[in-house]
Amino acid sequence: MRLQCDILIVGSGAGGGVLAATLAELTHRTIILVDKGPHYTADFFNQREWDMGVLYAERGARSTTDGAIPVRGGECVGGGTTVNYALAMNPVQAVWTRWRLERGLTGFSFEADACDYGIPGLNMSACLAEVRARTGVAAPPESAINDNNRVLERGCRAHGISTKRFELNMRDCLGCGFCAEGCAYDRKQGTLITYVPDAVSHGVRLIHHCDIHRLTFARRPGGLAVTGATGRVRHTRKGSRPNTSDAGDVHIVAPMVIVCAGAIETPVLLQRSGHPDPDGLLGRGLILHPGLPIVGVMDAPLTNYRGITGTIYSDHFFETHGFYYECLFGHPVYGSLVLPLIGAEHFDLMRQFDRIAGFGVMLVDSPQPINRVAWHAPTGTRRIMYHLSDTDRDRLRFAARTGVEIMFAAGAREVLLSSTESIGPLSSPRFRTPAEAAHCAALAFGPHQTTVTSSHCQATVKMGEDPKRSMIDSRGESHYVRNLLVCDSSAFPDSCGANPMLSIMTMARYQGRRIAGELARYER
Amino acid sequence: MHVPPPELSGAAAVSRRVFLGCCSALALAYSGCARLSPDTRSAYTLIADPPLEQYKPILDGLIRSILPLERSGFPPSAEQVRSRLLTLFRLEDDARFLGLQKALVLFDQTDLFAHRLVPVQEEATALDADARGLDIQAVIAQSHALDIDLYGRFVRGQEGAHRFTKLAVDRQREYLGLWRASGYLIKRQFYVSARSLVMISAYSMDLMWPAIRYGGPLLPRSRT
Repeated sequence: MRLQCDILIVGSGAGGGVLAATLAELTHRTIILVDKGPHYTADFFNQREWDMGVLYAERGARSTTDGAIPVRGGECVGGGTTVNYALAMNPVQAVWTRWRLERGLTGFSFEADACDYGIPGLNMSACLAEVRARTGVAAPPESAINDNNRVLERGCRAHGISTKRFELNMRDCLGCGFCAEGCAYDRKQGTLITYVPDAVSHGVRLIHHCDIHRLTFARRPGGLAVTGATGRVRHTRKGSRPNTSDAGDVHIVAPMVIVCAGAIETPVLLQRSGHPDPDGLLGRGLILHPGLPIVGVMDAPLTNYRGITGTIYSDHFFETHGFYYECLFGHPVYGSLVLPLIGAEHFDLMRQFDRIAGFGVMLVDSPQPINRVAWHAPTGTRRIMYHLSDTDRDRLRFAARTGVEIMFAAGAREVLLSSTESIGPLSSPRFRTPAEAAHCAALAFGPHQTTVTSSHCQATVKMGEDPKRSMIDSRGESHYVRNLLVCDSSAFPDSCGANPMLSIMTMARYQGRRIAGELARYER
Repeated sequence: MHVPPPELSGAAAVSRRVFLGCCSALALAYSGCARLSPDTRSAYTLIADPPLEQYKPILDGLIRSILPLERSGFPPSAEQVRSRLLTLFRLEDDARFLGLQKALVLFDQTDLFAHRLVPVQEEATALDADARGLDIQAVIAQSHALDIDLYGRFVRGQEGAHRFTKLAVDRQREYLGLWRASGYLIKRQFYVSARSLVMISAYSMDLMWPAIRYGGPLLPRSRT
């Protein structure tokens, strides 16, 4: 099957969804938006953890190559915005300013009166405001903060640590507690129900179940240029919306391709396509925001899995130690995996499910070239290699210790880590007194010892003006292949310093408006 | 013959692809061991595609050691958990689970724990040893020494059965603890993965929920 369009966008999440809608709104170009996953909608989401694994890459089982760090990612229309907790942190201006200084980025002005690239009104603040308005970003009311979030708030306050309230991209949330299983009530304002429908209503053709195997390049005067992509449309899975294409091999001819497949799949697609990489940068420097769950057993029952999952966080240690505490909670399958031990000891903890409180550490990890995503051609597999640096281990130990203390300060009678290792003199990861928190200094954080999760993958196709240090420039354009752009979290030079959804969406809105204002640039 | 894809599903802490790779590595490691004991040779013969009836008791042993089935108030039976596990993870229907089956049979040979494992390439890949400049032989030697020590403490004064399936449940849990604490990354991975498969199977069943005071979905049952 051969299709043709002016612009092909790969991925419909925070990057691709916003970009498709913006370009459809501001240009008259024909656009095809493809996504690898199915097009599930609210009527499909059944609030069951196990069933809803189908919303995730590898059905939730994607991990680092050593199996030690789960690397979950939405693989459905809407991508991560369909399965996240709707935590909407604004882009961290200081980080973007640093990138401008360190990476020579142009544009991305935050001044409200800036007109980047000479395009009227183009600046990050304006784009952020548009995205926030479209996705209903607002702080939840006081009444929506459940007991579990109060635990973090209370513990921090007692420990002299400041907290803040998350803003969320929700409208009239019912508080069912199943954000990660897809919103069955269409209250979460991910791209699934905002920008993707906007794009489709403006004439964008959405093809889901579409695996893009390779981008196609051709040699033109002046170098390589993208010419489209090849792939395969799979049969539509039960429960998905019908597709706009039959199943089968597909060749999409497009003089402009924008890859928004996320920080894991985007570099792999470029590598598989033979994208030039003379300095071996592609896929390197993976950031994944390591997470560390901290669990407390309280004396009395509390609302934990119901209500809005995340409403309270603390950035108290962001400037000094580079991590956040963020409230989180899961349902029994996740809970059974996070809680330590086996046999009766484990079950006795599970029996107290309604007395368990949880929050997590989200570490802003240090960039390490050794941490990488790579396409391994001989086996036809993707490898995600990640190892905590010594510095990051130290910061996690500090975060664990302080987190345990916070949980005790909130009234926990026992605090646990998700771990299989002995922690100093403790034979199991059960802390009975605040003083025992000091033993966190002994945590090894080796693979398959203390559970470290990943939160937000980034920085594998870095932006920058120096081709020796980056793969794409400030416009998101490949340094090596004309009319090939990248616009997702992989474009960040390192960690964006926050939960990234709004940073990605704002960047996508910005790039969409910029492309619309510079269309002639892509028609040479 | 066409083999349908497995019903892999979402467990935050599990990568079954990697898990199976690990299992295959263990199988190869044991089969390649130069100093085969009679039991190891026995295991070697079992490496060729063990039928369900052969590894089912080992699966049951894992389920019994990971879940407190001896507790009167524990909701599901071993059979229910095993049935659920085999529904979620179609071990019999998919060739990709062959490695798991072999690993289970090898796991059963408790005296093999202290034998020197030689899955150097697999361990090296998991550790990313080349990129990190690790001396993989030194790492392996250190891991082996730790496992010998762990096994020595496990058997001290407790000589007897060399089969996981023949051990009392408390000893089974101790034996699982060896895999949890092993020096080898891929053996620790086996522990984490086996634990995860059993936990997922048990706690995704509705009948577990009253016992843990979990209310489940808000949507009506007809919807779910």
